[in-house]
Amino acid sequence: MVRCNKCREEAAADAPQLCRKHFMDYVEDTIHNTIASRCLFSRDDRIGVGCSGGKDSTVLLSVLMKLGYNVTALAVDEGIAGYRDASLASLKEYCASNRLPLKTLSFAEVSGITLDAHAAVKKPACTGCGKMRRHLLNRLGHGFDAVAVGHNLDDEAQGILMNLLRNQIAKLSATGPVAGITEVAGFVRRVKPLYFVTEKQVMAYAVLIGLPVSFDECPYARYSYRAQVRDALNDLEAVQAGAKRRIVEWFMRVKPKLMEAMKKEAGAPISADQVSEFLRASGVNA
Amino acid sequence: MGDGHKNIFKARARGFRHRQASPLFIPFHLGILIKGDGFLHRMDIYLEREKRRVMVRHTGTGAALLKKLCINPETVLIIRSDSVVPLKSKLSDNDSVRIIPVISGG
Ligand code: SF4
Repeated sequence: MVRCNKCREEAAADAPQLCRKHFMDYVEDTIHNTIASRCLFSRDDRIGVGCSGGKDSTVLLSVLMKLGYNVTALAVDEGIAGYRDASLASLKEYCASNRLPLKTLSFAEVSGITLDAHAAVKKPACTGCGKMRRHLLNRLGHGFDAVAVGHNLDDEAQGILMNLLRNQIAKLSATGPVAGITEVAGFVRRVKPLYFVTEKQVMAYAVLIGLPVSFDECPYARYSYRAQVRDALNDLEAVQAGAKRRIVEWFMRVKPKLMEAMKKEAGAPISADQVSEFLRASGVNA
Repeated sequence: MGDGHKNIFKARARGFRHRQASPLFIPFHLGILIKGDGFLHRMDIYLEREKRRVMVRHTGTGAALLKKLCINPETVLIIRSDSVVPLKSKLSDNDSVRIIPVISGG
């Protein structure tokens, strides 16, 4: 039997090898420390949590509730038939059973077209989708002190590498536990409490607390550049354990200098006229 | 550095993705052997991503099982009776496990 590094009970997870109780404590403490040490928000703040019904955002919602934060679920419906409708249905069920308020907004409501219609014209769909999603999440987030998103350590390592490979230094410096370089009027603070928790740890936590997890993946995800970087990083991690964490740690060391250098180039994190841009890319005259 | 990576790269070189590779190559007739016949026990494995079941002869750690199936341990969790099986834990032919992807959503 493999034992917990702390109490010698049977281990329920590896990396770190801990029993169920100590693993849950570890994940919750990591999230709490990220919030506190990076000043993401306080217990008096109203927090909107960007939710998709997937494991990351649902784990984030559940941990923030457990830690006593004032949270509201915010969901963007891109309009991906057979995928998003199912995950949003499970999110609605989760919110209803936990008496959590939920606000939603869809691509169709705002622009008149769904992501499926956009993807029929523009591939890969992720570029337009990501920008629109951030734009809509920002709209939903008005009135909140911060919007928390479920980006985990793997997502961040991928983002850092993608920006490096594309030589997008301004974009690179704008990532981190708090998104953006400077505060811009009209943009709600976007924060990432799962910044130091790996994707595998998030999934293990979801299994251990019995969250209803969907194993579906967005049908457009495999065409994305991110998917290629993700697979390459996972291969690297198999050769060099800890590679992803070291990428993020390296970035956290150089980030202050990068931010300082890039302050002049910093603009709004998303175009003010995102909807017209989305429509133009979809072949619709805005 | 262990030898795990060689397996992954060999799988890549054979022209298929290690995440999905090996189960497709497990001979189908092994899957219909009756469990518990005392002679040919097989571990019952449900691959959540592929939504298919395979039966494999295996006694050893979870990590060794994934290596046998050419699955990168970074991309999955092994689940037995709704609990996570640590990679160093021993598994045997009498076990029934699910292999779930940790990558989901979009
Ligand atoms: S994978 Fe791409 S298309 Fe799918 S939800 Fe994510 S960003 Fe949008």
